[in-house]
Amino acid sequence: MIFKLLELKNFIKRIGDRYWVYVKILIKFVSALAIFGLMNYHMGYSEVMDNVIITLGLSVIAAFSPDAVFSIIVMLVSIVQVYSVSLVLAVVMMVVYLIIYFAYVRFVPGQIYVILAIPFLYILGIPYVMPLICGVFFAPYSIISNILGILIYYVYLAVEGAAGLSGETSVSNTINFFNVIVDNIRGNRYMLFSMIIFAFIALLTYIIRIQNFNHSSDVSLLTGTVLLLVAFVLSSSFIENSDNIVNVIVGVCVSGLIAFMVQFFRISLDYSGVKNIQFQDDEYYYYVRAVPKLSVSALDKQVKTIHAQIPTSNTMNLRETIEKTFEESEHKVTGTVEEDR
Amino acid sequence: MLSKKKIKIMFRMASYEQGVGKKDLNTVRFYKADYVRLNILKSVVCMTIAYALVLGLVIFYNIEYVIKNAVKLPYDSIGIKTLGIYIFLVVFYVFVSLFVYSSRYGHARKRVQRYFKYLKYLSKYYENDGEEYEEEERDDF
Repeated sequence: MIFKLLELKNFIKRIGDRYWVYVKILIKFVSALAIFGLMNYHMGYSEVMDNVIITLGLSVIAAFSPDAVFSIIVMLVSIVQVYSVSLVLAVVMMVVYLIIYFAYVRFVPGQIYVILAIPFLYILGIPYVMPLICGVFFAPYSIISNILGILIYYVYLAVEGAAGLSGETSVSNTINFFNVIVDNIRGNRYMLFSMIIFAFIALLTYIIRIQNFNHSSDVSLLTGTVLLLVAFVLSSSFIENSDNIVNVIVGVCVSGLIAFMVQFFRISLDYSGVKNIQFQDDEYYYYVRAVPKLSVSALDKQVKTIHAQIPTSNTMNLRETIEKTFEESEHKVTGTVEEDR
Repeated sequence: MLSKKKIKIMFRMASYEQGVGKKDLNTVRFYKADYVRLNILKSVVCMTIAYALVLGLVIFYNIEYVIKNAVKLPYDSIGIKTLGIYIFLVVFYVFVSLFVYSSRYGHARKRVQRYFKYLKYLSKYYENDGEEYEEEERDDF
């Protein structure tokens, strides 16, 4: 099993290395299409954005744009969707994005993907993968990204809830509408609890991962997954009184599996070959622990196809030739025997 | 004649120049102190904008109350609180920026030093009319 996975990893790596430019464009196109599709499905307030051609066109533009432009397009699309509900809210959303940029993303630009990914992972039911991956890949500052991502998701959720209100009354462009949404978010204990759990799990996964013992990454992911499961099952039943505990359990388990797969594709180590080496130079004494990477050599399959030869006028039939030769030799032998007699 | 070593070095240099090298070369144009100070200043400006936007949102949320009690509001205490939080944030951002940009400058300088070593190698290579000379092994960028 592990060797099959390693072969698959090598294969994907080879393909990725060879066609990286095209693979990246394809990944960006598919992600953009999925994001805009999910947005239209859950917040399809804007008739303009609900058009398939516009969605496809935007996805193509996002696929061929630099990474920073990709995230700006996603943010703009979400603002356009909110604009269809309320102008005031659209302005507020823009202000929120600006605050996030000026106060945080400016320092760590790459974290914008974590922030924007969390709302969509929530829609897919697997947001729990993010604190695990952040713990394995990033430094503890990614805690802030997790918190901001959850906040944005709950803003979308509040807008979704308030969209019904705006249909019935004419409060959509009033300050009151903004206050309803802020109160909704402020009073959401489940959101607060989710933020605390995500932050704690991301930190714990990171701390365990950097420890100096065998399989520290796997242990960190396993611990993180189990704690996520316990914490979210408890919070779903006691805080939210939700009946969707099965969804939470399935979501956490799938997230754990995804995190393990990502970790496996990132790095896989062979702890049976650990070497502890000590050496020194003029200034330091070094204690080095070297862990070899698990690897398999790519299968070198050489397929040799043998085609049946199509007889032509020049082709000899081997059987006929052999039989003919035998007959000739027999004639010669009988001829000589008769001559001898 | 093609030199494998030269091609390898030129490939590394080109990929560095087109990747992270662009930013690094821009960074090391400054002295460390200047670079860090400039970025601290930028961070404080950005933080000020963000803080103003947050204040705007808070006022917007309480706008009805503010309009109703515009005369009675304790502006002194509100001003002191706002300023206190702002000063705290400025200090916090100054320290974070100091740490982040000092470390970034350090990493960029190390990479640029390796890049210059490669440049030196190439220039000597051309001076010697394409004859390779022994150099100690270097790390990748």
